[in-house]
Amino acid sequence: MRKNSRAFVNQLLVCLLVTMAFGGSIGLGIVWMRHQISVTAKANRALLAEINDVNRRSDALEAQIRGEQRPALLRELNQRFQLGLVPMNEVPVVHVTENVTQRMVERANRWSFPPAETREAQPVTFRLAHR
Amino acid sequence: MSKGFASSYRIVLLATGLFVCFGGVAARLVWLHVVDRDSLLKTINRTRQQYNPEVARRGDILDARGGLLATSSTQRVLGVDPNSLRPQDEPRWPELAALIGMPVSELRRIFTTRHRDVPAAPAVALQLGSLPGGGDDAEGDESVQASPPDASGRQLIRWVKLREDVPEKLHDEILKLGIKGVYFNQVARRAYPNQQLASHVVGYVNKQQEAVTGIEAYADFYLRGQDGWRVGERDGRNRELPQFLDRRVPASDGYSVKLSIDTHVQDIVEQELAYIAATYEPKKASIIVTDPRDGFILAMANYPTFDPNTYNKLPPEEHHRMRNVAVADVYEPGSVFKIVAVAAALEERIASTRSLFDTSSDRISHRGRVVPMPAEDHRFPNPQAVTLSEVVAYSSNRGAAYLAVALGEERFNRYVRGFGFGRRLEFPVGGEVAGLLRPVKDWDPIDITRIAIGHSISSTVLQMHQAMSVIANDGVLLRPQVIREVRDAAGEVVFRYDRVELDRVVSPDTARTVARLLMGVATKEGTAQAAAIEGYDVAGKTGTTIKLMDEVQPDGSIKKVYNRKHHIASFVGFFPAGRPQVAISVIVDDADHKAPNGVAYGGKVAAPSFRRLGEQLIPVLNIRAHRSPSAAAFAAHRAGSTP
Repeated sequence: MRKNSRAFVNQLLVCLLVTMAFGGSIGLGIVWMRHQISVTAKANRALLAEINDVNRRSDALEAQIRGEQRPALLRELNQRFQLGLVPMNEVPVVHVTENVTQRMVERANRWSFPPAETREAQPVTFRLAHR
Repeated sequence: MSKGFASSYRIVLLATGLFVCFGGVAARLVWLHVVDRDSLLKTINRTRQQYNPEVARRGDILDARGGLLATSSTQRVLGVDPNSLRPQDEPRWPELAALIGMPVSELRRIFTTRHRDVPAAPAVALQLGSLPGGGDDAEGDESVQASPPDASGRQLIRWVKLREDVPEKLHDEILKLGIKGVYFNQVARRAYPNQQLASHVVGYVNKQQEAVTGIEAYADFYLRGQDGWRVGERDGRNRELPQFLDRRVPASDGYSVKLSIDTHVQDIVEQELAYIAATYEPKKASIIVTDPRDGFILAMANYPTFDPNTYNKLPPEEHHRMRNVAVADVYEPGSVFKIVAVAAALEERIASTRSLFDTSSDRISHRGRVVPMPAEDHRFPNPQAVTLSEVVAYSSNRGAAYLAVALGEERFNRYVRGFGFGRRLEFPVGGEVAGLLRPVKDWDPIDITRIAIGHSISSTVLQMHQAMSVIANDGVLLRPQVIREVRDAAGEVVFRYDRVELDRVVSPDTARTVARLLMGVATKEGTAQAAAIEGYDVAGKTGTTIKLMDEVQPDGSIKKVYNRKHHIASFVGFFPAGRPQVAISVIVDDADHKAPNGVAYGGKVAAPSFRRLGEQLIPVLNIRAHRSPSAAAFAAHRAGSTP
């Protein structure tokens, strides 16, 4: 009876120690996990702050670029640096109202067969092959 | 069986001790988590819980080409808490003063002033809990923030502004100094990169981030977005503990609003206004440019104007600069208004292009009364036989009055209202007013002859512009609009505005006939030769209105009287007349003192501006000449109508 109770107590003690070890490691694991959560959360927060900062700088830069491109300033710079730039006064597109094919043929022919008044009298020359 | 490593007595003692310890811990846990829970939670919530707002970014306002007209940015404001300064940092104060460009003596004065007496009426609002680093949403305009007064009536100064808008490089250099108590607050700011360009349309947001006028105020619902918030915990240094984030509602950034305003066109218009201001020194002037086919505003500008970035620097006597006079002020439209009588008479078949008018008599009988007719400004060679095209081209007052009288009060009033007078046109910004058009039952017999020539009625510049656009748009009155699209933060279109027809006023045939008649105005014989654009048919009408001004009477009272020394010059028109692509209104108020011969005629002051604007807009808007059919028709028209 004495042997049995001692054995039981021994087993209980072992179980208790195992439980404590197990519980302790679980506890440590939880602490480690919470620490990791905290580190990750802080990293995320820092990342978010960095993103916000980049966005902030981007917005400020965009506004600055647009400000530097405002027409009044460009005009002033044009004048200050004497660039001589002038506003576009003609549409860079020619609207062809006549027959397009005819117009292209005429243009091609003008190059191949210039009008008589613009053609200068050229002496006809022949190149002879040397043998 | 092994004897074991301890006696049963000791083992029982150890086990009992362990159980007691565990039991104690368990009891304490139960006590803390169950019995004392509420009071402990209250303390924790009070000391550790933190509420952090997340400010939504206000959306941008874009022009028709996607350029920024208004945008949001965050500004760093440098400040100091004089009560957090350390003595060991004092040698670095002069360095800080040099960096921010402040005299050392001034900086020293700010840094050493730690209290202030409570003023009788506090000039600045108190802001509690304004701590270093926690100023994401802090309003940095108050230059001094202080804690509540103590028993002796003195306040601890917690924050004094040192400098606004600190650039990145300077920010880094200041941080390197490491002066405790000197820190930055981030403040949301609205920026208008184009400064005064389209300022009356765009409006502005004040320093408290409240939209005040313009599109900023009208589209505030879309632009402002929705602020978010997060509730979590903070540590002993008031730093947020992100791992204990409890709840979070993210901020939704505001939508962007794309306008129909074209920066390029707007710039041309504002340059022209600047020229008018420099040349004629008028009291005010307005120019509106629209696409008459859909009613969208391409440019709207007024003189004088303002820069929304510095609206708060305007002295009170200059606040009128912020008024969008094109929609908020009224004037007597004068001869431009004759298009209403002409169009109505043609639509009702009371007159045709072949009708002849006797403009020689200076009185007529109307509603049983003898009514004096308005004087003619143009001397017709044969005043007994004036054609309709001459009535328009030479701006015959009596011809227009005859047409209105022939229509009768009821019908004429119906057309006047149909053209958009006496009512708001639902223009979204600028505080649009309805103008003044009395109910027809209140008209005296003389009124119809005066309203027909644009007197006894007042309208806004926009109303007159839209009335002319009715002619350009085949007889349909359109709602003037300025917002093209609303886009979400990702750039996707949420809502697109389309043309809105308010009324069918006259038939397309009548509108085209009036347009052809109006082409005679900008010709060598018309009143606005200066409005003619080479290669294009211009349809338009001049207006020269004598101003109603206050005059002190002999008895000391003030009475409004017509003053012949002050005029409002206007030209409202569109081109190409056969296929209108752009409508332009130029109104110049009180330019007489600098005008040729001392009278600011519409044909002399406003019409040249119309031409200059038109010529510049041709390449920008790719306006193509559409000359032949309308010109030929007009020539035939005039030839046919000659007696």
